Amino acid sequence: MKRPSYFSLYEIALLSLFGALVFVLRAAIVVPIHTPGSSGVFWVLPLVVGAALVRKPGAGTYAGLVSGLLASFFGIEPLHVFDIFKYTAMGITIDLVSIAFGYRLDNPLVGFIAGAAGNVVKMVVNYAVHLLLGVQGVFILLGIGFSSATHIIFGGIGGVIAALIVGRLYRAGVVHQDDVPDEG
Amino acid sequence: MEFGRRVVLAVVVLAAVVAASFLIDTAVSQAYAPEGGSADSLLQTAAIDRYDLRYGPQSWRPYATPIAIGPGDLPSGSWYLAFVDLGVVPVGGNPALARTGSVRVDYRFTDLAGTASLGAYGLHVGDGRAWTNRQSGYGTSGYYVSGTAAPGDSPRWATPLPEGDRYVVEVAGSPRPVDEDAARNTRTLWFERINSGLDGLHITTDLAARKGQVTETTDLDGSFYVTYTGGNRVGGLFLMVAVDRPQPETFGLALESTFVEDNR
Repeated sequence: MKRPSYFSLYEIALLSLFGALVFVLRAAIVVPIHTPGSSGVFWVLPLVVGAALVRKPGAGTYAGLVSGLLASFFGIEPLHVFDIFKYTAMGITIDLVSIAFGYRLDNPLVGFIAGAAGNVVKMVVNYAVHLLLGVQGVFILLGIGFSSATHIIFGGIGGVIAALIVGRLYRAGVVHQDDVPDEG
Repeated sequence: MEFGRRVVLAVVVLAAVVAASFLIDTAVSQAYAPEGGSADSLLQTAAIDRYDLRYGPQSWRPYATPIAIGPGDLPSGSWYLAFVDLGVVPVGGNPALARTGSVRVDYRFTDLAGTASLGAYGLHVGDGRAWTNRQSGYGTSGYYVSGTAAPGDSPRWATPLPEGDRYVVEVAGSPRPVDEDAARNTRTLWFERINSGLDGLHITTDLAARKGQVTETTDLDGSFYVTYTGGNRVGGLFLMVAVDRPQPETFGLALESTFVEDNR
């Protein structure tokens, strides 16, 4: 007897699209305010919404992995294949926050925490990869204070926007908090 | 644990991350920042002579792929190169968050033979990538000075730079080593890929035209600005001085660099 897959076909399609959306937003939108982490406003949106809609552990990780694979294959960022780590880490963090708060991602406070944590973990993983590749620590660590604060603020803003979207989708009846679409 | 407590705990964790980051940042800044290029208005000076032209003869200057030194798109001629640390860095980014500005460079050549090409090289704080001014296409900038002195003997101490995307160059004007075992003051210019690192630094004679222009002059005494239009931190700024003739014994170049804050 065939073992049912963890994610249904519908969920895989949905999460893949959200993962691709992260990549598209990263490639298409440049926030011209020259502040570290500002693009996180857009990056965390699809991951938080995806995790909220699928409501299964691993949903954010899957979408993050898809976006990381796309980013590394298209080479839009300097780390190329190592970009997979930071996008996936962002997804894992959003998953962990979602589990810790019982998937109440329609709450703007939870949205802020999920987005901020995801964006700041992405920053930490990015720095760690640079260190592993042999970049001098002093180059990485200078400015990390301001950078971590802005990553948290911008990621948090993205998370709040995602929570508002999820809340509207719940209230409009497009998706239901209790319905887990697990049948392909 | 109830929902409210979990929220408070998460916020405390995020605040702790920021606090720890600022602590690390402050410690590292105090330990290392004085060694980097400064963005204050103090005048920095440098002087080079013919013995500082340690690289060449070659037709190209460092980038991810060889690019021309002289005016035009294609590498040509036989040039001798030196790299001078200007000691001051331009600052870009959001003017509400940083004291942004450019670097004014005043130069004075003595007994220049042929043409001197001046190019800007900047080092990226964070990962060591380098920028330089664009050599061809839209947004090209550069500065060329022509002199009339008679050429000197070929510099036997000069050797061409090996081609690649990573160049270890000696900083001109620093004390010359007495033997080959002595440590040399070097910097690594690393260009990650073609078409990257060409649109941050510019050379201009008019701060209103921040993206710069190509200037060809016969004035042996003059000034220009190095502007930065990116949002990252520039950790060091170097001036490439290239000449297309062997220089006479009396050749010299004096440089004065100072940070010029943007008008707001």
